[in-house]
Amino acid sequence: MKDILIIGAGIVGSSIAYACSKKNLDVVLLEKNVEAMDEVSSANSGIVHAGYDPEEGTLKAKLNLRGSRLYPNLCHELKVGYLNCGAFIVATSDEEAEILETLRLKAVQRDIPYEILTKEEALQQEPNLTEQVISVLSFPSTAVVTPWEVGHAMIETAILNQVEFVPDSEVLEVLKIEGGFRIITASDYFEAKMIINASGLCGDKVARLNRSDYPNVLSYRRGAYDVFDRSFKGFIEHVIYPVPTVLGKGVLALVTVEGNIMIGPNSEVIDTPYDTQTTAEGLASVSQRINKTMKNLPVGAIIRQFAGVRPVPITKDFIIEEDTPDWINVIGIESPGLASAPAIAEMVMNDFIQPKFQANERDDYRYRNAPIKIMESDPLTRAALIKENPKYGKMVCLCEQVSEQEIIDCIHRPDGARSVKGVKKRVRPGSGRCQGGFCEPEIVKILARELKIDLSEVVYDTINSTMLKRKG
Amino acid sequence: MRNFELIVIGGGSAGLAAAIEARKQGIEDILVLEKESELGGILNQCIHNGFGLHSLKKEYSGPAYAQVYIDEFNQLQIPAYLNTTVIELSADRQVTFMSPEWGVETIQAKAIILAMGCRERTRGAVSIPGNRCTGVWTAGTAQKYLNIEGYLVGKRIFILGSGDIGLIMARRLTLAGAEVVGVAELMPYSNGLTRNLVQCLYDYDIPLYLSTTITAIHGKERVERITLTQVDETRQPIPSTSREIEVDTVLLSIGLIPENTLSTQAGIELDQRTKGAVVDQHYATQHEGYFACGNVLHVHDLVDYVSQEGQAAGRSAADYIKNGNGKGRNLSTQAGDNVSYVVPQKLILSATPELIQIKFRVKSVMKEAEVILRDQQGILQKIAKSHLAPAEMEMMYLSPKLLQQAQGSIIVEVREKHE
Repeated sequence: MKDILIIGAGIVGSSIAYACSKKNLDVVLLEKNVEAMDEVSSANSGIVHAGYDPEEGTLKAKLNLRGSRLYPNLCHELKVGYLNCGAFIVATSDEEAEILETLRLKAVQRDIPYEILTKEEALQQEPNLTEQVISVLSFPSTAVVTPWEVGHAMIETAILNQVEFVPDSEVLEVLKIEGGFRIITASDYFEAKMIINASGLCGDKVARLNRSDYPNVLSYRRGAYDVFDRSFKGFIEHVIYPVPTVLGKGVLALVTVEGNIMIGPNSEVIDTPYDTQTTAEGLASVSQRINKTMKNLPVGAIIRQFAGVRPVPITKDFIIEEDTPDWINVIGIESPGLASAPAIAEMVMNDFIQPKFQANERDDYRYRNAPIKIMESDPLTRAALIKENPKYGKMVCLCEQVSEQEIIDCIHRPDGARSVKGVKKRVRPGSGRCQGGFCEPEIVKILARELKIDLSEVVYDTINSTMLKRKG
Repeated sequence: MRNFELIVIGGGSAGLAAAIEARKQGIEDILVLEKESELGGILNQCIHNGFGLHSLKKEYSGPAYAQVYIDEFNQLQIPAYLNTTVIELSADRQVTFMSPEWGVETIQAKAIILAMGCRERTRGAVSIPGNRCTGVWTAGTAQKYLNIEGYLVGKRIFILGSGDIGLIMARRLTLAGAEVVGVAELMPYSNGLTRNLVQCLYDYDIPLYLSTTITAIHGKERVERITLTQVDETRQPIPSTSREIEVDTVLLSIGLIPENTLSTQAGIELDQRTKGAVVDQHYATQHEGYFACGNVLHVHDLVDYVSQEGQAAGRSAADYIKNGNGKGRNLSTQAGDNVSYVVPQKLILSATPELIQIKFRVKSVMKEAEVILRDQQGILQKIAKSHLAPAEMEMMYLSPKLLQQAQGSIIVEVREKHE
């Protein structure tokens, strides 16, 4: 019997698995999809919010603030991107300037560094802000990460330290057994002393597998985004927020770690958890509402539009609870969930795992090596790498400059890519301006070769998303 | 650093023709850089016929057409590095490339010919709402899967856009056993060549829906259906006309964009209309020693004209290497009414008069029209045309005599003739 079984390899499950991997605990992490980080965690803003926004006294407030302080070191030890870009909250009316003042007071109370900028100062730093700006509240500690990069790195490190990761494993049934639980999936079963339910969009559904009268606690909100061609890097430097309202943080603009401008999200209430379609109205709302804070957006340079769904708890706060003995729900993790994730893992560890297991630190802990990025290597290293393995010299993705060997590497690492989107999320081919038009056939061929399957068996992302059919 | 007289970036139809002509003009020290494992570029996946009727006076398939040039290229023993991607291009004509065989190296040339071709517009560029499931490809990607790898992208296919690749793929997929349910075109006229409409759609009873677009793509893991909607004169969808069609695949044939990432890096000025470099009649860009030709300069309708343009650029680059820049009085061209672009954008009138070729496209289908060239003073030349369409690239020659009188900017405009 395992000590701990975690259901769901999104940012929350991955963070908990990573925290567990540092202790002498026997842990298994289950993921329903082919790839980890594939639902809520694959389609959000990717912002490590500074923590000034959540309501005082909530878990969100506490964990966001703590999480944002854990991130720099976390990203350092995971060797993943952390772009400490800072944030501007842009007031465009006197009423909004008053709201900025209340945010400022919260920042003072929470000891979050800030700065007030005049219109001139703000426009000097961000010339593409709207001319209507009156004043700006600036938070230098706000940062941007690539959520799935963080998650995959945590899972990979966890695997290196004996955590078992099992994708393609949707939990179908939960049985209470002597000293723990038996978790049944379509093709296997697992037993563990403690269960951590971090199953995101199906959080309350999975909670009901344990306790059938667990209430519906989640509703769903969808947000759409536009992603722009990387050639507009430098258009903005900070995360640009409007002044928040009761409806949320509003439509923001940011630069991703890789240098794409991204705008969004709107916020639509939807009925079903997996409806990630974009709608004409939703996309129009994003492009219209961004004008509140920005000007000169290169609308012709949009390369991709997507929408993400987030689970919204009816309590308006994260639900982190021991629902029945040794069954821990970590659900309703909407924004600022990404920013809070390391702190959520810390809380779960301190409040639930350690009181039961009192596990020691694992000695000989192994950190991962950062993947080789041929274009980011210095010339001498690059030459040596190509000489040793010529596939580092074969460029497959021109837009993002990714070599064949980098793709092969990402397939064979622990938590390796098993789908076209998995490759795209890990090493970026297909994320550029041609959107995979040139390189996708190459990626499919490399996946088939490395996974020893036929091209017709290669999936785009989910298990039934095969792409090609044999001719004739 | 190794120095070359001429580096050609891209070994497709434009690059091959350019390198061959430069060699014939006496340039010995040439290097062609090609990212794929063989020369020929996109022609290698265009296995249909119809290439070469104008330039070679005979009909070839894409690979066979390419082979004509590859054979000549090889006979002339022009060196080419294959599997070689240019990763950086500098303003002073330094080219950094990377390849499995050659590693990373920076080389320099007296002249560089840009011949990188173009890329397809994607779903993001036209903003089709809906799911991002698999089953949506550009027509060229589907062509590569079928003609190079031997795999079909789907069974029931709908094509958005009536560009030539989409039309060719409608026939190709039908012949390969898929069902092509229809082709939708946003505009009230087809964007493909008439011969492709007839031979690829009408001959196979594939319906073409004009003034129609896909307003949503639905599907959980794979495309399951699309919403097809008619548009009004302003190209806005008319919701009452929406209907859903069950398909498992959507192909996009919605236009091509010259691939100028490297040119931009080198600081070469681009024309916002063509998305290619601003050039003079010698295909010289505004940046010393850089030339551009083929689909990286502007998207062509026929490969024959790409080869001709490559040849002209090769000749000019050779002349530049031997004699430097030509001097002369400067004029510019400008797209006027009903014209979407004009190439070249600059004209240099040298002492030795020469016939200057200009190329342009019209904005809409026009019958019984006349092409009017004028400068600030008035009309220089008028040419009657019985049929003009945006799908076809128009060419005409300007006489040196005419140009000697012209001042400033020469405007090319098209009007329908009124009786």
